[in-house]
Amino acid sequence: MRLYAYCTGDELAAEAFEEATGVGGSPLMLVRRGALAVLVSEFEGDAVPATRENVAEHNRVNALALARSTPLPFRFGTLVEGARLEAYVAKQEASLVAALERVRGCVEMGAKVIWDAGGQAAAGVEDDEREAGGSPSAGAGTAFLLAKRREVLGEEALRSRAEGVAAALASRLEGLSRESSVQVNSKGSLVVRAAHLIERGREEEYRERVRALGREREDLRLMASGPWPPYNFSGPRS
Amino acid sequence: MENFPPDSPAPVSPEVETEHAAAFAEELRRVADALPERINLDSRSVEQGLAKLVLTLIELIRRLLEKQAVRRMEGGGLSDEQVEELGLALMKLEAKMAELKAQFGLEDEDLNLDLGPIGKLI
Amino acid sequence: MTDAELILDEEEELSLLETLDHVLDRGLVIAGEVTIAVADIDLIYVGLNVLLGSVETVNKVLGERERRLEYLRGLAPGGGE
Repeated sequence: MRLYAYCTGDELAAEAFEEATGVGGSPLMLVRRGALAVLVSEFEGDAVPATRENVAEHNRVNALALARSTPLPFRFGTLVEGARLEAYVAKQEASLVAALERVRGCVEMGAKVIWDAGGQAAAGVEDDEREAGGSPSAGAGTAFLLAKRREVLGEEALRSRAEGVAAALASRLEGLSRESSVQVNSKGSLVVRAAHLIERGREEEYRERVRALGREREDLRLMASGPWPPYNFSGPRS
Repeated sequence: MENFPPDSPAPVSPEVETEHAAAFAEELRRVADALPERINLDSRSVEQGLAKLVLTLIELIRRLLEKQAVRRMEGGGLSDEQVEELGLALMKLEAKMAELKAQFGLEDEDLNLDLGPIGKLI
Repeated sequence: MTDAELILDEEEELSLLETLDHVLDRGLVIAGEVTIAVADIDLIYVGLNVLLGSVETVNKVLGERERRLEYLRGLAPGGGE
């Protein structure tokens, strides 16, 4: 019988989980080792089906833990033998404790931004005189390179605008976001995917700031989510 | 010990707030579809897996060469004839790659060409 | 399982997708211990429709897929296993 691991922390209290069950309906338990505890439940089977229900259970249990303190969440589907789990905690104790310090008193919030990819691409690049004129005797090879040049310049301009969007979000969350993890993608519509570590209790402020940015920037669509346990801030600092 | 203030409501399961649910759902579906595949070890997929790897590398080099050529052209260090020759060579390379991709039934999306931060170097 | 049961409303679907964006690819990993059944298969072969379904749906689709794969293996040159 393996254990499904939800999260680990140094402030997890058994009372919070007494009445609750986890993935597959088993009761929740705490496995303790030193200052750390891991929230688990017994799980039948070798693998966890990624169904709506199981994902919701994983989420619900982590939210329950997050209500009282900030644990480090495991990836969905983490199944271990008890002994393996204890070995993991023993080996990783120092880095887990450091990670817990990093996120103490915080929650993770997420923000995503969509822009009009087609419109952005069309905005393109200033026409080059050279290109527009183009010697009539220019061969196919030259035309090819000129077209590539246009593409390259266009891509660079696009990338720069995408970074601009990320900067607008960062600036809006100035003072609220303790740490952030941001992905910028200039190709496609989902231009920015960001996670932010903020102080507990300021979730509504976060949402309001994201909403405000959405109102001010008609060219952007914003989404805020959370609070989450720190999925994006549990690993080694990049 | 950090204690959550007793009178504050416990956070509910993470809320998602947006005025554009459909648009975000569509984009996130695309993201999910792009998650790494499990490795299949039957022979057909090993072959295709290798083809993908090789073609990805060639494609990256090819794109690097194109960008280098554009920069040299910009730099003004090439004669008209050199630009023409370079362009023709790159055109042929592009056509050859298209052939190879077609042969293996691979599209650009199948090759892992998104290098994230490294992509800025190319 | 009717189509209606597979369809979540927009908000529910977005909520699930956003959750997946957090729990599937991030968080602590005990090396070699992430054992998700079906998820990666879903995402490649079946798409997210099954992921949005229930355990029964998943098993049904897996069963069909297995039968299809068996058939394809039988067709491959040299025969299947």
